[in-house]
Order: sequence, then structure tokens, then C-alpha cells
Amino acid sequence: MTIFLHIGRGKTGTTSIQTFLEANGPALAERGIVTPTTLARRNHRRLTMYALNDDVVDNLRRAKRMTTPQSVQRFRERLAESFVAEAKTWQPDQAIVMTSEQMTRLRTAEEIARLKGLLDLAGHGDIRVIVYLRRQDLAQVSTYSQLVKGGSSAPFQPAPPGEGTSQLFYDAFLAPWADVFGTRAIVVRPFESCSLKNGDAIDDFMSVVGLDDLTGLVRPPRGNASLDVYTLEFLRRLNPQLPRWLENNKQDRSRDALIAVLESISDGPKLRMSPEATERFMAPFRAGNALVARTYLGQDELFREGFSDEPPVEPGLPAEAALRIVRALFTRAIVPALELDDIISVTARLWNNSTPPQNPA
Amino acid sequence: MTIYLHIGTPKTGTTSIQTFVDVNAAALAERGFVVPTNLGKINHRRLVMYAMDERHFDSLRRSKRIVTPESVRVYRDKFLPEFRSEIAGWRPDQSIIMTSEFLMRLRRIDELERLKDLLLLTGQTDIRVIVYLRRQDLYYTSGYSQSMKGGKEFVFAPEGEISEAANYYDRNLEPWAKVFGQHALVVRPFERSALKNGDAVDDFMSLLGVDDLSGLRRPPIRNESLDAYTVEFLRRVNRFVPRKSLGKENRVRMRLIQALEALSDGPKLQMTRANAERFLQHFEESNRTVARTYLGQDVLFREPVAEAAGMEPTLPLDVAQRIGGALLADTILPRMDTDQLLEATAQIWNEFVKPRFAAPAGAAAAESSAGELPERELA
Repeated sequence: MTIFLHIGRGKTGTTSIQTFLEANGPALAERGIVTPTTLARRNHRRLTMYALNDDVVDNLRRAKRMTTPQSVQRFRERLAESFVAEAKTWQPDQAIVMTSEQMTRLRTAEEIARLKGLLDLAGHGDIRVIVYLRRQDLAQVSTYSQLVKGGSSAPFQPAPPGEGTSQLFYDAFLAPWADVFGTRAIVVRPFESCSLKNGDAIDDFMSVVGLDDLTGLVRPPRGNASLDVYTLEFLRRLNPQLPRWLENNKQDRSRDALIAVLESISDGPKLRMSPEATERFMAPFRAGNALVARTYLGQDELFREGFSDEPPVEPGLPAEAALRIVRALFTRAIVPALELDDIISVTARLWNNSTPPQNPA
Repeated sequence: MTIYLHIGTPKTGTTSIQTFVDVNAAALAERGFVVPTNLGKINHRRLVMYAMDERHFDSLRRSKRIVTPESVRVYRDKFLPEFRSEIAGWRPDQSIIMTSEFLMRLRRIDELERLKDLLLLTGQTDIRVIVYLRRQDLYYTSGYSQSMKGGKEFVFAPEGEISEAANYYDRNLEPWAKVFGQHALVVRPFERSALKNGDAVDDFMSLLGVDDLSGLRRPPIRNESLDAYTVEFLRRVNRFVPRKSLGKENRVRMRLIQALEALSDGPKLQMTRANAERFLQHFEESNRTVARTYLGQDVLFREPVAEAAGMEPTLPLDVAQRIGGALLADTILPRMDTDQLLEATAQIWNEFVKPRFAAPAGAAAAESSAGELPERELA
């Protein structure tokens, strides 16, 4: 029995992989690949909720009201119990796939060891830690988009490596995982078209877990699409008035609907650093990337694709783009949600707001 | 020659007739007609403002700040020499066309006599008073739409409109007959089958003896009718978008109405057959009197009440969403700058959309990876 522990990182096709696994659960089980059900649906975030230190209250724990060490402890006991029960159903010839990019939140050997302790309860199997790494400048751009989707209103700044980018020093990031699981257990995959099997995250991942023939399996449509620079800037400016967190630690789920509309109309240019900014940004990572390549891949270079020589694209919101976005939001999401009286009052209110009396022309 | 005094009524093609007369004024002059230039642009409303009782302040007078008997007298004193000066240029062999449906607002004998005295200053004594009458159910329906455009909020209920002031045409025409003489009144039923070529302009010009309109311009008439949906949408919006704000006419409101007109491709606004027939019973006798007195026939209106080809005002939710969505997308949002767009989105989203997504009390918060952050906070 081999446990494949897919830990991300975020923005490397994880949603596609997880959706694929979920959509094909029974078909994959017939081929000997099992996805646990006790770790949460699709994204096995309970592994992270289990392993984080007692005093950490991240959004996962907050959403489940796990805000005290006692509640964390109770959660761990219950999860371990159900996990062990499920593990008893696994066969020696099966591959078990667990996946959650939130596991990259585990940063200390202590937390990672706690995670390993849970997995060891399944029996003495072989554990592989699969991690996709994206070139840091691209990861930075992608993370910015994700931060804005998550509610941030900070403008884009290709920050020099430091506080905010420490997670991007992949050698340091991988070190505690290697310490706990052993260097040979770590499967590092560069997230680049030229390195992925068929240039595709799903094909590549399934190949790593031992399944090369995917015929007969369903390919779900892409989710978590990236925003173009217009919708990105629109959302950033909207965020202060549309906070992600409501009272009682609940998330504002309506943001998902809003973001879905933004994604569906994101056909403009994507955020991109200038070649000079890319060079500057990447310089501090070169040594660490080379180390990762040698340690985990037995090669000299981690990333092979060259830097783009295209001009930079910065976030921006020209008036016509703003109008197009707001039109789409109103016609696709807002108006269909309104009752009769609300349609009237919303129309009238915005009409009045849009017609200042001093400008009747 | 002759003064042709076209007094309406409203909603009987008056705008078409007035616009036609206005754009062809020069060509009509060659054919022996003068169109006064001093009585108001297109619509000769100053005749009404002059002749109306000095204690009566209608919208025409109020719009010119004429709100006291004294100001009425000042107006008349100023108007009269201007009128004299204009008529001084007219020749006796010319006929005169005057037109304003607001003339129907004059109901008192002394008002009409004041008007007649004014007209006699031209030296012409042959005055024909031309009036088109529309079947009352159609008039009510058309007038209802107009009232909504004017900012009213009352619901479509014709029976509620039966009153002394309603369209009892025999009573309304009586003072005109008294002052100008019964034979001076040219009463025309406003029905396609009764109009020359089924057309208001053709019919009107034919009354003036002009049957050949070749060489005259036909200004296009914008289709400005609201359908059964948009009229109800407008009625409901009127509460929030008043016709006047801070005492001033809310002029941009007109754009909202035009946008609704452009969206009016639904069922025509029309009384149901049963309602129309019941409504018309009130006017049966009055209409017969008018027909006998002025037309020498028994029936004023010949066209039957239509089968239900239209609809009374209504607004199903999906239609409201379509109309509201189109107004917002094509008329309202394009008027906003980027900051206003962001503000409007946030406001409306928070107020109306967000609550629909709130988990019911006691339910576990849903988990989702959308917008998940690599965040980590200490309690």
C-alpha cells in the first residue's frame, strides 16, 4: 500500500486534480486508486486542520469554530478514529491518494510529524509526498490573483523576496518535509508545460500515482480560472466593501458567485511582470532552486522555461472595462436574485444616483 | 378666409398634425395658409394661457410662473400687442391654422368668448373649430400611459375615472357650440375607418381643403407607446423617481421613459373586452347625442371593441427582471463613472445578494477551496 500525499502547492492545478479525483472516484477505485472520504470532500483539508499546531486558528479552523486548543484536541481524536476505521478497508495493493494544498501551511517539523503520525495509523505503508513547484515569479503573480479573490485590497507589487515571499524559497520550504518523510519520499514536479506529462497537470499527477491510461475517465471543466487584469483590479477595489468574513466567523459565500461571474468574463490580458522585473525578482531564488533540482531531481536546473520577453501587463480598470464588468454582474448575478419590488427600487435608486441634478445634459 | 382652430382632443394624433403643420409652414403659405409663429412653438398653447380664467393656474401657466390673477393680466397685456403685430402681416385671402389640444382646457363660456374675441381681431369671421374624439376606452388607455409618463402612480382602473370631468363629449362640446355656433364645430371620430386614408394628418388637411400632400414633408413619428409591462414598471418606479425634484422638473426622467419605450415590445396596453364594454356603457347616451347633434347620425364610433389582442398593465417577475436588467445595463450603468460603478455594485450586492447566500442559522459553515488563502493567523 502506498499513500500519495499531494500537498500542492496552490495554483499548480490542484483544483483540477482534486475535481478529477472526485468525479472519477468509483472508476479509479476499480483501477486500484482510492481517495479517502473521511478527510473532507474533494480537498482533504482536515489533514491540515489536524496537523496545525494547537494555537493556530486559520480560516479552516475558524470556519469550524475550532478556536481553542480543547476544540482542536477533540477534533483530532474524532478524526483519528474515523480515519483508522476507513484505513482498515484499504487493500495492500491499492494506492491511496490524499490531496490538499492547504498542507503547505504546515511549516514546522512538529506539525509535519503530527501529520505523519496520523498517516502512520493507517499501517506501515510507503508514503510519497508529491509537490508541484511553480517558478517563483509566476507563483507570485498567481498568488496575487488568489489573494484578491480571498479579499485582499493590496495593490500588486512584485515584492523583493523577504517576509511575504519566504514560502517561495523552495529549498527551505521542502526541508522540514524531507526531515520528516525522508528526502527520497519527496516527489518534486516542476509546474511547467514542458515538464508536465502531455503539458497537463492531471495527466502528470495520475502518471505519478501510477495510472497512465486515463481513457474512460471524466475530465471536469476547469475551475478556479485566473482573472484578467481588469476583473482583478475591479475585485481588488471592490473588496473593502465586500469583506470575505462575516460576523460569527462565517464566510460571505456570495463572493463565490461574484468571482464566478468575473472569471467567466476574464478574457483580457493576464497580469505579467516585465522581463527586467522578472530577472530582479528571480535572482534571490536561483541558488535555492538549483539545490532543490540537485537534491530531489538529480538535475541542475529546476525550471527550464525561459522568461517571457513580452511587455508587462499591470492591473488596471479603464472605464469601459468597469462598465462591462458591472453590466455582467448586474445581468447575470444581481438582477436574477431580485424580487419584484427590489427590481423597482434598485432601478430607481441607481437611476437617481446616476443623474446628478447639476448635470441634466 | 377661414380660421381653422384645432382644439384636440389629446391623444388623437395632435402631435403628428402639429409637427406636420410646423415643418411645412413655408409650403403651406404658398397654398394660402398662415401658421402663426407667436403662439408657441408647434403647439399654440399661448392661446390657452391668454384665454383661461385669471383665477385658474394650470401647468402651462405655472411653468411660466403665472400664479396670480395679476400676473395673468400682465401676461395678457404683453401678449395682445404681440398678437396684433403678427396678424398685421396676414392678408385677408389667407386662411389661418391654429392648433393646441390644451384648448380643451377652456370650459367656461367667458373663457371661450375671450378666445373668440381674440380671433376676431384677425378680421376673419369664418371660424371652424375642429375636434377629434376618441372612443373613451381607448382614450382612457392612452391617457393612462401618458399619466404614468407624467409621474402618476394610480392603478389602471377605468371605472374609478367616471366622474363629472370624464369624457362626456356632449357636455365638453356644449360651450364651444354656444360660443362659436353649432355649425362651426367640425367633429371627427378618431377611428381608422373614419379618417381619410386611416391617417390623422391626411384627414386634418383634407378638412382644410388640401387633399394633395405631395411635396410636403412627413416627419417620422416616434413610436412612443408603452406596452402592458413597461407601463406598470414605470408606474412602480414613479414613486422613487419623482417628476419634480426640489420644485424643478426632473428633465432627465424623460430619458428613462424613452428607454422604457424602446423596450416596449410586449403586449399592447388595452382594456379587456369586458371592461371596455362596461366602461363604454357610461358614455353611450352622451356619444349618441354628439353623433346626432354634430354628425347627423346615430352612432359616434363605429369600430367594435376589439377582441383581447392586448393586455391591462401587469408585471410578472421574469419580465421585471428583463426590463430592469436592460435599463441598468444599457441606460443607467453607462451613466456612471468607475467609482460610482464600484459603489453601486457593492451597495446593491451587500443589500440584496449577500443575504441570499447567508447560511441558515445553525447550519455548519460550508467549506470551499475557492479563494482559499495561504493564510495563517495566531489566535
